[in-house]
Amino acid sequence: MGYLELKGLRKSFGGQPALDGLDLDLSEGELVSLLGPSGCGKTTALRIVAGFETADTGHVVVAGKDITAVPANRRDMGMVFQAYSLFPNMTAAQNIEFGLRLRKASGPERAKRVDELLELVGLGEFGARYPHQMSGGQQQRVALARALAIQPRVLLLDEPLSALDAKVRVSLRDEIRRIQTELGMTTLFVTHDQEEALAVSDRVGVMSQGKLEQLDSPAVVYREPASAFVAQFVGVTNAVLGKAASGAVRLGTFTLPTDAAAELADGSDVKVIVRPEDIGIVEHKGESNGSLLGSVLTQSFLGPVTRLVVRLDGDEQLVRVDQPSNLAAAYPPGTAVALDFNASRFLVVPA
Amino acid sequence: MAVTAKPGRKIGGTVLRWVVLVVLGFYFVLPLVAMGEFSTRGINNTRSLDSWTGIFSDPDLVDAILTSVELAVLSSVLMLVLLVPTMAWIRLRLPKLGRLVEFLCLLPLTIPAIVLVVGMAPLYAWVNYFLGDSPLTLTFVYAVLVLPFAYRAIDAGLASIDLKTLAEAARSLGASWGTVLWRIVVPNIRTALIGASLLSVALVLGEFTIASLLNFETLQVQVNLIGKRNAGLSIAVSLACLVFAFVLLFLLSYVGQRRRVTVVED
Repeated sequence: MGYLELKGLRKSFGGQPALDGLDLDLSEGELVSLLGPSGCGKTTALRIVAGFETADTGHVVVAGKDITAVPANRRDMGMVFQAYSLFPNMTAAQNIEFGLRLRKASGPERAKRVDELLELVGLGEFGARYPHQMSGGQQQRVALARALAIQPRVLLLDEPLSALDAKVRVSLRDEIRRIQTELGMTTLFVTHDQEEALAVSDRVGVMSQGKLEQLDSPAVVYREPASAFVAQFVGVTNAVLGKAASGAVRLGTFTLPTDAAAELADGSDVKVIVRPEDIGIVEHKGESNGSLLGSVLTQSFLGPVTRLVVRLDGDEQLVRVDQPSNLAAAYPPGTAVALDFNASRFLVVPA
Repeated sequence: MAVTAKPGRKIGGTVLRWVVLVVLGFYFVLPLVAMGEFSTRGINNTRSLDSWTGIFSDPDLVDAILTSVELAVLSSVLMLVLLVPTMAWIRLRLPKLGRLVEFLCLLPLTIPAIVLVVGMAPLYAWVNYFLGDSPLTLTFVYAVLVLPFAYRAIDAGLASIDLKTLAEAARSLGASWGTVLWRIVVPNIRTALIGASLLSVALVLGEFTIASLLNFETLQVQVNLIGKRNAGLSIAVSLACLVFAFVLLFLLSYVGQRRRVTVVED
């Protein structure tokens, strides 16, 4: 049994389903990300946990207690919003102590707590600043401190980094993770940025059309995507079209033996989903020998790896292949190459 | 070749601006100066402040001034109490009703005062029956009368803040709806509320038709009465009223200046 449980949450807006039976368990101290394209229901799920939306059916349980009917202001959820959520009429310190005041904490107690939290988010000197005197990143730090001040049972993060520029985004994301781990705070993090989700989470839940497609550790979600949607949403991937043929997939003249094809009708269209770094490449000379052949079209240097775009012979599909940058020089554009899927992981799905 | 403004045209623009300012300024200020001149006329071409000092020695007039000031304050308060929670709630929870409420609030602007009175008279018979015939009962009709102006001011104030996010942030920190309204909404639209109140005060102090037709002795009604026996005094009071309204409007534009936004880079 989890610390925070979402049980069979359903919600529709004007007949349009936003959540279609969402089940999710978070253990105490765990950070789980909900990742998905806009409109997949991740924000709706978070808002239901926060108490800002009411689920049509389903329950939200915290520490064994059903809080589905508890109003937002009595849920003890710390929430950090996308942006502009600091009270403009209050200083950073007053923002942070707002929740403590409502809980009737004494003056000295509040002051002590505010100092601790400002220190925790690295803004020791900024207590007297008003929100409009702070940068976006600093404002989000204060917002985090404010959410933590009430010692919430669950921390809810609603795309808190999406309004920040790239550099601040990365540093703040690492900081959120550090603080979350330090405090052992159970956290539900909603984002559409897969890199963000993979970087900070204990588990990532990939959502599509109101449903959880996969819920697993970042490595598993990346290495072993449960569906074509997950594979294509998380990380860069190829979807190579082919035909199922008795326990194998035919890509042009190349035959890729796979167990996954056994369940598919012979001759049906399939997609082979494979990541660029999972494809082997060798220079090819001479006659066709039944391997997957093509020629290098372009190279793009991405730092540690270089991405080759290979055009397959025959049907001219484009396949992306990543090679360590020091090896990629061997395959300048125009090189005839043979690709190797066998040693790697791939997924076969109906097209 | 780069296009530059011709000096001649620039000077022409400046001259035009000054001409407009002087002509319109003259148009507006002349009556005020004339009122000032008239109200300080003494006997035998001397200057005298008798009309002005007379303002405070006429007990009926002092009563009327107090009544009008009380009415102005009460109407503003009633307007704020009615409008602020309603408008905040509509923005937060019932956005579909926004149009309807806006329409209702703007309605008093389209109905002539005389029509309002015809509708109000039977209603006021009941009001007087239950609450007595104090002129302060005019508060109810004045609160309605100021709705169009107050609505616009408060609506602009609410639009300038991210009400939904702020309210949700406060809610998640444990605030009741009352706390959200009092601690978050009101302080952040303070300027708009002051604006709405000042407009209401100016409107109530200048209102004549309804008070007169419902037989209440407010400032403007008294000014009208006095005008029949002491023109100097009535002009002095009118001028004082106008100046007071101008000061209010000046304050309004002063408090209405937006807080300077500081952008801080990360």
